Amino acid sequence: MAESDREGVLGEETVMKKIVMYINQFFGGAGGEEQADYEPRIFEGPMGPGMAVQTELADEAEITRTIVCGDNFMTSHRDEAIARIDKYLEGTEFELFLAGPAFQSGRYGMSCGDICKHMAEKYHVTAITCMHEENPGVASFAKTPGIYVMRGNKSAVKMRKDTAAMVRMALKLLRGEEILWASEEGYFPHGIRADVPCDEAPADRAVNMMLAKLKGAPYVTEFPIESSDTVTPASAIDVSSSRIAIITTGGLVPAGNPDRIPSGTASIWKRYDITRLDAFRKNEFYSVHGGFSTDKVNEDPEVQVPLSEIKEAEREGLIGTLDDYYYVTTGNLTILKEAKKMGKEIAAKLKEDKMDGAIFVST
Amino acid sequence: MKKLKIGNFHVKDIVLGEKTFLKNGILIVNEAEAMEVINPDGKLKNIKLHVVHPGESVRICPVKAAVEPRFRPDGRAIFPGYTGPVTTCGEGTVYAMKGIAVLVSAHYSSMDDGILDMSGPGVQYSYHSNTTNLVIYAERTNERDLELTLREENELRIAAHYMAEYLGKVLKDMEPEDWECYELESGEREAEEKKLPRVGYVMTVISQLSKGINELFYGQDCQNMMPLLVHPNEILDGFLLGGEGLAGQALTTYDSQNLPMIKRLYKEHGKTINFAGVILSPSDVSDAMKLRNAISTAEIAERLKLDGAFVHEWGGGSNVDVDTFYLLGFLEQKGIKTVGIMTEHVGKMYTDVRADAVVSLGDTSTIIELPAMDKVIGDDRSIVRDYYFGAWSEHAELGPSLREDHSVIVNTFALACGGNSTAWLNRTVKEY
Repeated sequence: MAESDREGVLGEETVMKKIVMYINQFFGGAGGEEQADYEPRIFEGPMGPGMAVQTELADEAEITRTIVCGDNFMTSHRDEAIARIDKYLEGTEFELFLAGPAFQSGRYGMSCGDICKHMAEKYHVTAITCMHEENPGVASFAKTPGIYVMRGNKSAVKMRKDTAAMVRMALKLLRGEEILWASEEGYFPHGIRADVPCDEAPADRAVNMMLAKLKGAPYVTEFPIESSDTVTPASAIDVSSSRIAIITTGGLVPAGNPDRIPSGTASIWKRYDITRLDAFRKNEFYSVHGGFSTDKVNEDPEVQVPLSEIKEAEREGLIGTLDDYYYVTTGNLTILKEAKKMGKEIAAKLKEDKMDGAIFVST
Repeated sequence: MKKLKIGNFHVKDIVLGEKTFLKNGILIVNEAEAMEVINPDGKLKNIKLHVVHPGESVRICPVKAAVEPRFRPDGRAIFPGYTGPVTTCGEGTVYAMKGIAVLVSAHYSSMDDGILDMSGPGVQYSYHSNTTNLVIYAERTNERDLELTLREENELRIAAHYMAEYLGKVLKDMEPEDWECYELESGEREAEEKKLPRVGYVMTVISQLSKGINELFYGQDCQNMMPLLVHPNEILDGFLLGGEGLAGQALTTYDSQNLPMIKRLYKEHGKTINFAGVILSPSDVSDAMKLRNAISTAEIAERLKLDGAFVHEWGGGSNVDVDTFYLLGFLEQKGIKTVGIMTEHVGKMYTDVRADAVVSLGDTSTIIELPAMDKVIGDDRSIVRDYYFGAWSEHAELGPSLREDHSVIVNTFALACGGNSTAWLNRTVKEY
């Protein structure tokens, strides 16, 4: 017993977790706005807000280095600042990176976000910063993978609260504990939504939400609705002198579906040669789309992609040159990330083939 | 006055045996007799019955229907217009077997079918992983339309309903263990005295597909139907039948027979709300039909003098999202306060900022890995050979959904009712 206990203690001592922290010139004690061009320097141990952080970390982790950099220097000489910091950190081992808290200070917030992103990407360590929701650093960096931007206060009057939030998160991460959702842990969400178990039955939640709404009492929706991305349409082109492609998300494939385009949740697209075709014909092409009744399309695939009309337009000179291929995937329950990926891939292929435009038929 | 009494029998286990009867909570099923009853026209072949329990290493794929066994002492069909003549439903006495379900599986999957695991990580997404199930495996004698992603397979669906009715018959002359009673009138009087807010419940109904694949009411396919005001008891008593298989956001017959939201609203009726009725609002294909249905539903809601309305979405996908958010928008526009109840999937194509109160039931875009099981009912090659929402035979990064060792990687949409659309499971969606 005694033997293993002693080993345990020894073990803990040897695995004391190491942290590197970043603060600006003001909190590093170098001076205020007049020192904003302060060039990055590195110091041993904790400094400024790091002292409070270290106290709360107690014996579990140790701030071994503190980087101090002027806000102006970091925002206007970013690459230079980061190159120097990288040099300082050569041979330094650390498992976690802390920056700030930055409160409502815009340049400081942006600097903290930027250096956290760099640390997550280059050193593969999790980085934690903290700032007020109006700080532009939130919008710029909260969704960056590997970073937690903690929900912080407006000014340094609440310094203790903000450092406590950072420490709470730091300890959970260092202990390997499960990180729960944003509102529970107090970080700004990454924009990732996940299906989780909960205590209250959905029917109870629905009734309580209705009763609150009817009374005019506060309630919190479980699915916040934000206005979605807007796509600015490209400017018009002269179709009669352009090279034009055809794209469909209607799952129209050659009979037999040779490339196994899925009927929903697609992550792949294909293109098929149409140079020898004058129309899409029944039994030669059909739709594998799973989100609508495909009976009419399968009866006459031209109702989905009117190839004969498009070829006619090409013959009449309304379209300059038609692409040799049509592009197809299934737009049904497609994950946004996959849709973006496929869109980029198809666009790259079209550019490679020097296409000027594409007809995106509706489904 | 419409009063429905449901007499419950809690079934602890199902066993295949000599004679079909229920004793001490054990349901014994005569396989040969049952196989005859569910196949009156000889449209099925190679029928086999399986009993599966929670915790067993069993995968059932595809699953095409789920039904609760029931009995009606007065002789009316359990599913009027489907397993027997059209009669009224939602009133009188019905007996129900609790804790068990009849499922139907087959060799080929249609895209609206689901994968049901009785153990492993899939069980947290599927209600029927937690019921003891009598699974019918059958093939169609006239197998057809295999090239279609979605196909009409009524002979399989009705087999599950025939089975539920056949099993229910053993309850004749037996005394239920407990009773549930549903009627609106007494609560309505109380609610009116207390001037409680009038609240309705809107259900989206799949009506957009080919005939034979949509939901059914009184056994009639819902294709192109218009919104309909119904009594909540009708839903609990065989009026609305699941037309899809057990895809991630499906409504099954079992679900409507036991609908948690309707039972919950009955609990509030006369206490905090005046439960004014259920509106079935079909989700059709064209934008014009979607608008028509949403406008008509909002009109019915206004005629009902609703103060509040729940809009509960089934069927899923961007298509029904449009209907759901049209409904929420038109109802809010009339000053009726709404709460949406829906499953999420990444990339909802259409929303409405007026939908400011939504209960999120789960997410069907979660990628999940499922270990191989000792036993497969159906055919697990269907996962890559046929179609399921949320399964793929090719994937840019993840490889095919069925691996050589029979483990599986799919979206939770492919799991039997994996999106929790009927709200059986205590799940939600959180932002990370």
